[in-house]
Amino acid sequence: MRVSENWLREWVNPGVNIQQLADTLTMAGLEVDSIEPAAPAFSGVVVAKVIEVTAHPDAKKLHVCSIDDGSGERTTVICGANNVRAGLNVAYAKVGAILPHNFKIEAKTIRGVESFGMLCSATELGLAESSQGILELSEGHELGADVFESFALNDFVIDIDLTPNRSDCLSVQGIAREVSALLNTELEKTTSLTKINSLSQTTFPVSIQASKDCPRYVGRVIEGISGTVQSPLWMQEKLRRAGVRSINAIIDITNYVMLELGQPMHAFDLNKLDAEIVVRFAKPSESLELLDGQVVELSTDDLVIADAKKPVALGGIMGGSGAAVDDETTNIFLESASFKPNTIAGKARRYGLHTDSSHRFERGVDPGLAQLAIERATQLILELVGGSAGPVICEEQTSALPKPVEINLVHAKVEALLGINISITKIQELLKRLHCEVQIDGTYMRVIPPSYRFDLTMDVDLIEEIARLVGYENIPGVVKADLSCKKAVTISVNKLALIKQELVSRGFREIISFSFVDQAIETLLNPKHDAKILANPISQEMSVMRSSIWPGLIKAAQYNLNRQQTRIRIFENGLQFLQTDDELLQLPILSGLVSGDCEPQQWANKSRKVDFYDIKGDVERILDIALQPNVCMCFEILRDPALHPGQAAQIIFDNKMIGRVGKLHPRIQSALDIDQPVFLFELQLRELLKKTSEIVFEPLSKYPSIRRDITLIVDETINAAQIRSNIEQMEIPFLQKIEIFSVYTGEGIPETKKSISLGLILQEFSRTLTDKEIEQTISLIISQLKVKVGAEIRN
Amino acid sequence: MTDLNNLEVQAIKEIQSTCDMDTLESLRVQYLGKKGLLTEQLKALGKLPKEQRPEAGQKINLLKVRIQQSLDEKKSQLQESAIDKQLRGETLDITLPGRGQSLGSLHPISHTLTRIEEYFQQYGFVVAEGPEIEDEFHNFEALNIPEHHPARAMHDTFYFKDNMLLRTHTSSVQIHVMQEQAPPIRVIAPGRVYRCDSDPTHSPMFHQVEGLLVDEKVSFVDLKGIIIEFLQTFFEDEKLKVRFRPSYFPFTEPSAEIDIAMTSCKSKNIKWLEVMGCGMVHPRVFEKVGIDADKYSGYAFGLGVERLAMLRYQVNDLRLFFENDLRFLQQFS
Repeated sequence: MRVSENWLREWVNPGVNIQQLADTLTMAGLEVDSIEPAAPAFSGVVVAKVIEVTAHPDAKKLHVCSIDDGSGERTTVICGANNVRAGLNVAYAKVGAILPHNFKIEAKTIRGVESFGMLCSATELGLAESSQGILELSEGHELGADVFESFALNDFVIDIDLTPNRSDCLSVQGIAREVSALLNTELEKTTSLTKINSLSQTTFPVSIQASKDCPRYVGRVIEGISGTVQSPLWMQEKLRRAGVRSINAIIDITNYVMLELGQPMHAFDLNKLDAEIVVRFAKPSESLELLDGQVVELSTDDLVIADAKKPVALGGIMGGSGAAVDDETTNIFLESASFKPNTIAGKARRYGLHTDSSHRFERGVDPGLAQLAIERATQLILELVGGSAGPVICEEQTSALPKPVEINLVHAKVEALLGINISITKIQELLKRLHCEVQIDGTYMRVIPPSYRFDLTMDVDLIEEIARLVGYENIPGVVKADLSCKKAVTISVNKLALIKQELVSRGFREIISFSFVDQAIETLLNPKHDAKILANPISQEMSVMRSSIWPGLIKAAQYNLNRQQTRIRIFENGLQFLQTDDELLQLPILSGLVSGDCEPQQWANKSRKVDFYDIKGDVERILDIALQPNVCMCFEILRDPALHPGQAAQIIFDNKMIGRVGKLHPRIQSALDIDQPVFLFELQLRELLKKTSEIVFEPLSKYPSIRRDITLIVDETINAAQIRSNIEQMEIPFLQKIEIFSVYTGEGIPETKKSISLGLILQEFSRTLTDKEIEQTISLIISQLKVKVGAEIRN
Repeated sequence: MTDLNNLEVQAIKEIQSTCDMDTLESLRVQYLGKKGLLTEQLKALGKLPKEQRPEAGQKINLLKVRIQQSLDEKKSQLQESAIDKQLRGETLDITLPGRGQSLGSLHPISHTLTRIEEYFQQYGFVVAEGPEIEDEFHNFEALNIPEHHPARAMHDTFYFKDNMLLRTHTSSVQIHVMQEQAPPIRVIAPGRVYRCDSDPTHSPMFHQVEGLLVDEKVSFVDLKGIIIEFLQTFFEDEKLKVRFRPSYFPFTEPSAEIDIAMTSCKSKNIKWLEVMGCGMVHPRVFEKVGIDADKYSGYAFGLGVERLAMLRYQVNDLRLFFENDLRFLQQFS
């Protein structure tokens, strides 16, 4: 809501400057966004009358004007505007005048004719964004009067960011009421119904078919006006300062009354209305061309104002173009109605509209204003445009009008919720400043808020009002001592923090990518999943919910690869969104991506590109942190459309897949135009972050451990896990550990074979193993491997 | 006797000119070994007249001790120089960088979340989580934002076809917590939120932390107390000016927006910057989740994590948080 300081001070004039006024409003919840001058400063511009206009002898488009600026002498000014004519009152910038943007006016010769100053347009004076021709001032201004002062341009526009609950402040009157309450200052004027006597008896039939949604409809016919009349500059200026464009006098007056009192109004061209006004819901397949030219197909829950045949306005939102006031208009029908907020709410947005009218009706307009506003508008029309007004027509269903609410306010609750001591009489005084009726009854109050305060319906609403008027800054802040008392009985370890820290130690950088991703890349990585699609995405690149974090990680990798960063180690944790047939899963996961050099380039280590075992090592360390040692966890071969078929593993824990790791499928890598291999992992955090049971210490053996190394030659299809599990199946009690310390193919090894070297660590808890036991065990293991995986022993 | 003198002079000379351990050892054998020159001399003592033997024997033994001393000295000299030589050979350019992996970094949003969580955890607030794809009940209705409420339009909500939506605030977690848990309640809910708005100062995804405390006799004074202390702690400035300004949220009443004072170096003018919203839990919210509003009261607050991170790290562009440029991220190591 934009309001000019001068206009506001006509209504309430407290002894504070504009900054103090703005601070008061802000600290009362009417946040002042800005205070701006009503017009940029200019000087040396006076009211002058054009006496004579002649054509420029040497330029077709220029006029040589002789003007009177009140000094008694004629001055010659050259003007290019088409609307300059003898008798016109104009804004004349004298030689020496300074216009906005520090534009200095000097005498100069234009094509051989000397010009002493300039006739100004509204744009040149900073009064409009654009304008056609020079500013036409109305009669009644003294010639020579300073324009900046006469038009009260020494004014400021206060822009208030109103919260949706304060619809009562969407008018000068409303803000004035608020200022009056806050600063305890009397209003300069009050609104009371001034009935305008009707000169004509012309009426127009009005009926309401939807009285719950439009409980009151007030109208009036005014005949004999002219649609071409423009509103006076003072009104145009007030509208401009409130951010409303001037159209013609009739429309300007309806807007003016809306800004002044808060009642949106509408003027129809009476001659374009067919027989009657009906307030009803739209019928199936009705449409309406709105004032902005948009044709809307109406829904049956759209409230419309119709005549006998067709809708002529979208109720409370916007008029139709069919019955609009224009230059030919001579008779009008004025509307001032009350609509139910819930009926209007959401309807403007449905058609991409947001009008001053819908903004107010959605939030609530005091039904008591309808009559008041129509009288005020009539008064202004008769005064500024002329015409004769018919009697006021009022259709209403009083039972559908909002009823005054009575709220019981318990004194103790006010003090308990705010945490302060405040007497019941002080509360009464504060609420009365807001024009509430208050009756004290022992320890509680019966409060009836004024009809325009739709937001005050229960006791907490009043408590907030009391806090506002006391001032939030006057309520102390105290951290109670008992707040710090311990509540939890467990010490929880933040495993996720430990894991993230480990990744950081391993050179990973945490990223945060959007949860919605490009459908193309999502489908490329997870072709069988129907990703959840946003109905209103910002762009195609952010249109589906990710089923993994990989699209985000890959996008970040691409971003950095394109910026000469070829070594990438990144991770992110967040939700994955999986849509199954009957449920939507939103699961926390942790994912990482590595690509490029294994370590930063360094003189001491040979550079090496990362491979599968690097990222697998990273994953294993995370699992070491998250899972209990010796749990049943293993890596198994994984077929995943996103991953290289020969370099992909799934992590199985407790018979569940809790993660996957592998190389991005080369086909996808090339489809994404990435020129180096990329490795990815993904872990299910819900499984990983489960609380593990506490570590239990195992006593240490006093006896030495023995290590025997063996090297096997096996078929290259035999994997390490098969060898390991075959040995483990033997359940040798003193076999402590199996270490694979070498894997080799190449010279000396037959083709299709590989050699694997194992370190077998043997230890008995209570005694030293004998050589015989050791040799027997080793040869048992060897024969088991010969049988099970066809291993040969290499010497 | 002159023989012995010559022998001594020769032995010492030879020992001192030795440069390696092997030569030194052969000299020891040559003079002191079983068949060494001095051993021979001792053996020859028998040939002397009986009365001369003690004196001659003593001289030979003294000479033996002196040669042994000389050998020992030389030996330790050679050992020393061998170590010196080794040390010289092993001397490195210690200014060269060390070997191994580089250090990564956490995202500045994570750093900020940790600061926030740690502050509230000391007062017994527990971290709570909720879904990001949310229903209208949890995101709006239960928070006293009925359909067509103007506040809904201000939320710029992302919708799915099935009327589910992306949560527009972490306030939805309040509802989950209160549905599942009876008072007293103390939770904070950090997380991602989404608004259908993208320009230099708005990101379609950002982070909030919601806080909720429900107990008996909770007042606005308590709310002000903890928020002021939190902000002063977060910015490590016990003089930080914090301002509570009336505002409107459908799910709290009284409601407040919280500004902190930014004093610029150039002018003495205080510029207030909005950092949080808060208020006393609205009775209608309690009603929706079945908490007795006559017995319990509570406060809730919500803060924008990016805003706090931008202030703390002087990041001037919101979009940097989500571009994931490594050159940006590495500054937070």
